[in-house]
Amino acid sequence: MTMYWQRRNETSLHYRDAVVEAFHPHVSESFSGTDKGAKIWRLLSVAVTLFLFCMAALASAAPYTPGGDHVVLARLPQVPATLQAPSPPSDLSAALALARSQIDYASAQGDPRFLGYAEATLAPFSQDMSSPAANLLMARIEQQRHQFARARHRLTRLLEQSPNQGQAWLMLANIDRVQGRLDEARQACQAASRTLPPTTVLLCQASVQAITGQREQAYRTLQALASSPAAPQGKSAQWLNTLSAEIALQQGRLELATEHLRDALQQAPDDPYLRYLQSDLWLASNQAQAVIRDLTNWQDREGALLRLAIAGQRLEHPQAQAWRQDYRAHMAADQDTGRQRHLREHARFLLEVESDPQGALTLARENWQQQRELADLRLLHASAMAADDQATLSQLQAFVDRYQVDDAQLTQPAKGASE
Amino acid sequence: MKSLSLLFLLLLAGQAFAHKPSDSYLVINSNAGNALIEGRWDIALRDLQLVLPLDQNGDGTITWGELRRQQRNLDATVLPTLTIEALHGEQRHACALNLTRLQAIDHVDGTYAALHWRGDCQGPPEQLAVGYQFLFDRDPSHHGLLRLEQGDTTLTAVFSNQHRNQLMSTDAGAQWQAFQGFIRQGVHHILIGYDHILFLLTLLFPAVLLWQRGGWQPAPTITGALTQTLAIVTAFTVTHSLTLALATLGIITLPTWLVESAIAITVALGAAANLVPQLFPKRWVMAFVFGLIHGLGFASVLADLGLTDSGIFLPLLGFNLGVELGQVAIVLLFVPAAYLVRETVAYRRVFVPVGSVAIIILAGVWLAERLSGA
Repeated sequence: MTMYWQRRNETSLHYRDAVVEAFHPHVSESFSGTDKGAKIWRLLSVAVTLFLFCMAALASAAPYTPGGDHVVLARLPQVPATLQAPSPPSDLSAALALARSQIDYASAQGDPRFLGYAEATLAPFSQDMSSPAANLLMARIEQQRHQFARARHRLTRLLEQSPNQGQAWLMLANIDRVQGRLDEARQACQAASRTLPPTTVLLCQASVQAITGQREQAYRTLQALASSPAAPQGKSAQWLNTLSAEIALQQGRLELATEHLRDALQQAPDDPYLRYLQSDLWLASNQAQAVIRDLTNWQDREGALLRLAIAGQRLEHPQAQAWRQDYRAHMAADQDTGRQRHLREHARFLLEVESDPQGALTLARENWQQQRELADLRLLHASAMAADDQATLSQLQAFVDRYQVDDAQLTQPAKGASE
Repeated sequence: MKSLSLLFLLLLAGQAFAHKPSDSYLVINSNAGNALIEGRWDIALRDLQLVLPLDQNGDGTITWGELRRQQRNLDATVLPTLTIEALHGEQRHACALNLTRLQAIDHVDGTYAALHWRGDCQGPPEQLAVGYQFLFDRDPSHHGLLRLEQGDTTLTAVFSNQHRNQLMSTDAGAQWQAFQGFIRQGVHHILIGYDHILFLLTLLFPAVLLWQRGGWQPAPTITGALTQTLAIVTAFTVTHSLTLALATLGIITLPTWLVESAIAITVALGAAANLVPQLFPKRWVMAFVFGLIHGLGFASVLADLGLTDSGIFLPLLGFNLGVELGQVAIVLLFVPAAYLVRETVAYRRVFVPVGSVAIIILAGVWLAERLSGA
């Protein structure tokens, strides 16, 4: 029996209240890979996929001279030209506005190049702490790149100078929570209360309480807040719904989680974090087909590719092998670039697609040094169980005991029958 | 309809590339002793279009024609963001880089321009100082992944906004290659130098036996056989390494004919010792003493390889290592086999004495040849 927590995971986008701007509407196309009448087509398409893959593999091995001047080599993403301006604005407020749109675009599209462009935009203003706003944005970039230590250092320095930067406390709380320093996270939420509205502070506290033995209380607080006259609006409402969905999941109540997630998605239908969370819920409740329907148009994003590879494998989808190879190629390209690797996703791929528990465990352990969210805990636990590594399991137990982590996914088997 | 859309999706998937941070791939090929270097630099079209007006007709696509028309700009403005200097001793020369050919190449996240280039460094470089300035002003998170290939060895480095210069020691690669070459020479020499092999084998013949009551008896335990083998091999190794070093460093010099003849005598004596072991009770002493002579023999090979005084240490070490590797291989092949058949009459009464006599005769022939050839 597959454990439920082996099947789900979340994306690595941590910044919950990022502005979501949908530049492209994503149309979900109805498409069935298990159509019974199409068996021959399925076989044929497998052959075609393999052929295309071989061609692609050959093509990537060596440079070539295209057959003629008309051959299209690349389609440029349809980006507002202002987001790729050749020279950054010299005016601070214009630079801040541009950097913010670049970061938002990067998170919405999952395109890390725009984080780099934003960094260039902010460069003249983020060398010292004279502009808190520029440094907050820089910290956001660093956090999205998983450069947690760097982001944390920047925020701490900023807060030494301006302790009333509520936003900085909030981000610090988030980093501490993501990295499993839960006492520090709680203190940072507390410190934010001096300048930020109480609703925001409540959400901040609830995100920590949920994983430190006060799950039910956190959930009640959120629901009370949602139905109160002071119910948050906009991004905060989205955050509230996301948190509620995650706590419901933690309680093992999949349907409730789906409801909360639906509410959140209504506010931000193209938020990658939410879409991936949705996919993970589907994977957990044996609805792999829904994942493929939802993410097929997102194949240019690594997070979507991972979930497509998992869903495709379970359904023996004709595209499964292509998704798997694409993800492998990404993992390979990620090696030796001197960058922070997406260890959580890579470990999950090894565990769920490649059936390589030992490899998954190695990456999940490395990931655990960086990230300690519930998703990381579940992944490390699943890898350690699969690889039968008692030492890791007892290490995890120590963490669970210390913070009184209460998670249905760690203790209960899957709700749905295995596929 | 469904099937058609499925095929359509599959075709699309072949072109759908996932987003990735901005990296370029730079390969430098350098050949030892050659002033010319060449290489290839793969730059993502998405990155290139930030610095060059690639999409001339503004239709949101980049065609091969549009890329090709930028070839002059690539040579004039992009290639100069890459600088390579050749270091040789105290000298430092800038290598002039030229774009020789433009192609396209597909990487995991899309199509890249493949810039083939060649550089003239005026002299063979010991080290290459590579400077990389591409795109950092536009995207500080851009990385350049460098692979330096020289013969069999590959060195890698990563350029980033903070690390724009890399010093690549092409020499280290060459030295390691040379070192491996000397190891191979060492192995080769002991394997084809049958006088050394025969000497070692004659000493090892009785390692699995004991001389008792006027005849060879099988060694009762494997421990005894292993102890004997280890003692012989160690003693031989210590002394031949010593004289190999002394001769290579020029501290001992003896004429080759003398050394080669002496080696033939050691082989004959080693075989004779198997016939009259009461005269040679400690075989490891024999290995120890005669090892001195065999080391001088190894040294003559090393001298033939034409080494200079400077930097003799690594070749010597490599060669010696190779000799020991070859020797270990021989021991591992022979001793277990001999141990398995040690109790048979054929081994004790036929193989050891007849083999030893044959070796004495062969060594006698060598001795005659070597003395007369002098």
